[in-house]
Amino acid sequence: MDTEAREAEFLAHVRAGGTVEAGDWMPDAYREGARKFIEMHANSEIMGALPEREWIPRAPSLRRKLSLTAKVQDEVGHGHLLYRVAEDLGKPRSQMIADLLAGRTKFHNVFHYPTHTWGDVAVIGFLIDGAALVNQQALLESSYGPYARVLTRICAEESLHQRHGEDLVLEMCAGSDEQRAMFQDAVTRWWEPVLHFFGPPSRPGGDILLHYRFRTATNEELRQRFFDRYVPKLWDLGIDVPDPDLAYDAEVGEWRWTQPDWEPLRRIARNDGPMTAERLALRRRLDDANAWVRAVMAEPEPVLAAA
Amino acid sequence: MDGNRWTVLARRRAGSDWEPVGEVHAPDEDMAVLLAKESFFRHGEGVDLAVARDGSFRALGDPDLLAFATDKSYRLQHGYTGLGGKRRRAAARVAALGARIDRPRPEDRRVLRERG
Repeated sequence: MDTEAREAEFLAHVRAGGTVEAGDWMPDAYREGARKFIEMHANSEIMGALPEREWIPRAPSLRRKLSLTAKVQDEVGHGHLLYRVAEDLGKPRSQMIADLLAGRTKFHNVFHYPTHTWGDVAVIGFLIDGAALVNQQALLESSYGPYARVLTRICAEESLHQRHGEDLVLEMCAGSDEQRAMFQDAVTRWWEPVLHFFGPPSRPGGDILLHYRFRTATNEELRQRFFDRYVPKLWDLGIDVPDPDLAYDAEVGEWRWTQPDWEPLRRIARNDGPMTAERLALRRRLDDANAWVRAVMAEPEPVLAAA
Repeated sequence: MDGNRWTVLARRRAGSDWEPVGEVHAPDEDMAVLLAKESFFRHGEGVDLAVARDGSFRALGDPDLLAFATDKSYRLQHGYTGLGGKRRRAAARVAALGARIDRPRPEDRRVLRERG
C-alpha cells in the first residue's frame, strides 16, 4: 500500500473513533505531534511541582504541609508516567530531560509565574488544576490509546487535587477579611495566565492534532467549559475576576470575555517568563544533586566470571 | 530487551485476580517493589502488589505492607469529606457580606452536562 492510501486509511480509522497503539503504523506528523504534546505535558508536571513545592515549608498547618507534599509527589509521578508514554514514540527520556533543563523544550505557561501568598496555592489547587482537568478529561477520548489510558489514572488523582483545592478556597472564603482579600488578590493576578493557559482561539483546520482526533476539543471549547465550571463558583463566593465584561450569553450559548494581551504568552513560549530562568536553574541543581540516585538505580555492571 | 524493566501487578481487593497497572525501572527485586509501591499504590489502590521480570514473579504477600503507617487520609477522597458543610459555611459568610456576584451565567446543571 502506498503512503497516501495508508494515510487515508489511518485518518478514516481515527476519525471513526479508532485508537492508535505505540507499535502501530502512524503518519510522521501524528507521531511527531503526539510526542511533542505528551513531552510538554510531562515537562509541565515536573515543572508544575515547583511552585507548590515552594510553599511546603510555609504551609499554615501540619495537615496542609502533608497534603501539599502528597500532591507534589503525585504531580512528579504524573511526569514519570507521561515520559514513558512519550518515549515509546521515539525520543529517549534522558534526552527529554536534557532538553527541558537546557530550555530547548517548553512547559505550560502557568508554571513560569511566581507564587506570592498562600492565596496563590489555593488558586493553583482550584483554578489551575481545574483548567488542567478540563483539558485532560477531553483527552480521555484521544485517538492515541496509551495516552488516554495513562490519563485515566492521572484524572483520578487530579480529581482528588480538586477537592484539596476547593477545600483551601472554601477555608479562605469563609474566613477573615484578610483571608478573602488574599484569595481575591491571587485570583486577580492569575486570571490572565489562566486565559492564556488554553491558548489563543484555534485556527479552523490549523491544528494537526485536532485533525487526527489526538485532541478532541478546540482551545475555545475548553476555555468555555472552564468558565462553565469555575466562574459561577467564584461568583457565588463573592470573588470577582478582572474582566467586567465576562458574562454568559444565553442566546449564543457562550461566555463573552475580553481578549487579554497575548504578548506575555509569546514571551513564555520562548522560555522568557517571569520565573523561567529561576525555576529551570533550581531544576538543574536538583538534577545534579540527585545524579547519584540515578547512578545507583542504573543496571548493575555484569559480574565477570572468575578467570 | 530491557532487563531493568519490571511489570507491576495489583490485587485490588482480597481474593481478586492480579491486574497489570504499569512498569518501573529498577536494578533488583527489592528496589522494584519499593518503586512499585511509591509509584502506583499511594492512594489505596490495592491490597497486594507484585513485580515480574523475565518470568520471575515477586508478590508482597502481606497487606500490612501496603497499609499506611500513619494517618495519610489526605491522600484519599474521604480525607476531604465535609466539603458540603464548608460550602454552606462559605455561602453563609458571603451572604452576611452581601458579596455574591450575580451576573449572567449558564442556567442550570443540564446546560453544563450538555457542554461536557
